[in-house]
Amino acid sequence: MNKYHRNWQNRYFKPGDLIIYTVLIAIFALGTAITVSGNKTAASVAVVTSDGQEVHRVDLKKVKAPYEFTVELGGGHYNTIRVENGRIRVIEASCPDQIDVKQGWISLPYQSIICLPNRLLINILPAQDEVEEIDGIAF
Amino acid sequence: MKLDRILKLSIIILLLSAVLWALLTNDRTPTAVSDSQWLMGTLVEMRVFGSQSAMRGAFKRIEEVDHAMSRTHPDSYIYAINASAGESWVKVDQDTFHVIQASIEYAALTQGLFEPSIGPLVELWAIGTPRASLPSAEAVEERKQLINYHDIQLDVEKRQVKLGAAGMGIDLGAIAKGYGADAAAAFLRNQGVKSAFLNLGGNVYVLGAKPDGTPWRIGIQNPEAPRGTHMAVLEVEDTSIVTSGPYERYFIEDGIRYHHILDPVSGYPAESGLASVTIVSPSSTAADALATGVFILGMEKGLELLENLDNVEGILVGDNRLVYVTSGLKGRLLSLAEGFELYE
Amino acid sequence: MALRSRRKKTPLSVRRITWIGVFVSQALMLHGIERLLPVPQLAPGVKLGLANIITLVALSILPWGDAWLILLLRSFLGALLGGGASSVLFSLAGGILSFLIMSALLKYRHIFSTPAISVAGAFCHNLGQILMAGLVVETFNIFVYFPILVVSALVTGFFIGVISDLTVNALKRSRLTPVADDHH
Repeated sequence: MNKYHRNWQNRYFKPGDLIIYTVLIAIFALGTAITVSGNKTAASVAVVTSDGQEVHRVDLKKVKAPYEFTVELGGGHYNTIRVENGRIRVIEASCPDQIDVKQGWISLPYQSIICLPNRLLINILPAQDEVEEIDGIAF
Repeated sequence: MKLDRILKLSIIILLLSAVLWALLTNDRTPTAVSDSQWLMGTLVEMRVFGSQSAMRGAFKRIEEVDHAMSRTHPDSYIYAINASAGESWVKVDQDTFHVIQASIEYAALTQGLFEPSIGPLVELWAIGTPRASLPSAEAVEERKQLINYHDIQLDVEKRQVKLGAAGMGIDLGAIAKGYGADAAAAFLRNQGVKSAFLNLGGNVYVLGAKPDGTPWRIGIQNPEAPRGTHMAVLEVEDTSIVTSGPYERYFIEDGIRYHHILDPVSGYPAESGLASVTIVSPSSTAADALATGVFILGMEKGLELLENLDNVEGILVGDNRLVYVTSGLKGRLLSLAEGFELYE
Repeated sequence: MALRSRRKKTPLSVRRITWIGVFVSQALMLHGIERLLPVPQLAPGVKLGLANIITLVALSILPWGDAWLILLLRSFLGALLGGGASSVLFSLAGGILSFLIMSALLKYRHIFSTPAISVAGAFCHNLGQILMAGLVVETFNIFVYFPILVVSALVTGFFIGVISDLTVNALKRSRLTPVADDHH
């Protein structure tokens, strides 16, 4: 014990310190990893809701192959949605005004497509770990 | 020995009082509840820093307003008034009476361009419904004759409303959402809520500041970009922001776009050289009505009216992408999007 | 309980009470000095933590219970003097977490150096505050702040550790220590 002590008899560094510093470096790495990966994945999640119910959620940046799907409300009301890498749009809808179809692609946080007749809403969420640039939008 | 016990006791008392003090003065750190519902023909979103029951009550208030003031709902007071036009008085609830009264005031302020009795014309154009199509000039002319807000008769004592001539019709579509926002916000305030964000299909109302004390940052819709893209940002507390623009609802026939803001004088969608009008006011009712009225009034008259009103500010965007703001908003428009130019 | 177990060894004397008072007032003074220093606010909860010197010194030369009392008193009084009610919660969250980790590590002071213990304490202090912030502001991603917490803890903690070490040694040399250096 004494010999051991003498070898490490440095005031500001003892062998156990390595444990503390290693743990802290691990926490540093963990935080960095989560932040970096979080920025990549959380940046553009599109959420499709029909009459208030979430029916589809997709991370637009992770879409490899484009796909389409149809949301039906009943009574013949439907919207067909196309998802591609980084963007989403309505390509066909039963609604008379077709505003949702005409709106085309959306890809950025806070953008949304609303189809009032079919009560369909597509939202792109802001990144979770960034400070929100705005809280809402008046349109 | 005795000192030790005193020491222990004091630790406990200290801890308890610290926690108690924090709990009492901190007003319980509010947590956010949020929900969205389809009401008033649009998506109503709320983010409330308070209880779930307070938020439910606020939605209920909007539902009540919707139910009372819908033009198309057969149980509504407005439906009853329109059905009895030129015939009999209809007793209405306080909300409806108040909104009709207010709408007549705003009609007077905007030289009749914000028109509560525009119902027949709205029905003819039917924009936003499957029947939307370009009407004949004769039909437009005929319906225009039925529009005159001076013919809305009010009996304050009995809280009754009557339309002067058969065929007339009230449409509160350009003011009811604002009133719904005011009513919901008043309810939340009554429940002790200090911070909330309400969005009634683009009509934004912010109650208080954000829980961390910073103002809400509200984007103003870019009239030329997809919904949700902002052209500028305002930092606000305890106020309502309402934007009106032709991009909200429209239909296209033979390559021409017909939007939903109808000019009661011409009978056609308003052509005033404006791309959008945003009104900032603590009264969402005022903001809603004035956004429509000022859009039809146009840049010059619109700015003049806004400057003459207290507690009302505005952001007017011209078709030429020039942005005008009223004196109270000078220097407050943040991060203006590229392509737009602020007129100083 | 800690108090009772130590009762025989270290009866609560006027001397100990005096030490508690001296430490609390010094902690408050350091707290005040820190508020005057223009240290950039890198993340919520990150600060120099000068008052941690007192916790570390107290843990080194006073019984555990006394150091604990000093921590509670200084958190409470510090909030009273400037900060407000909610800062009690933040201050306690950070203080308690760092106190626990430092008192645990001090039991093995033959393998941990004072600066390293202080670094661990500084990190836990900031972590406690940020966890509290996470409770207050929901959807608050605390991981984002981990790297900055680690870096600031390394810098400030080491600095605080060296100062504490020098202070403890000076006190021991002065033979003013309130109780025998029996804390393991």
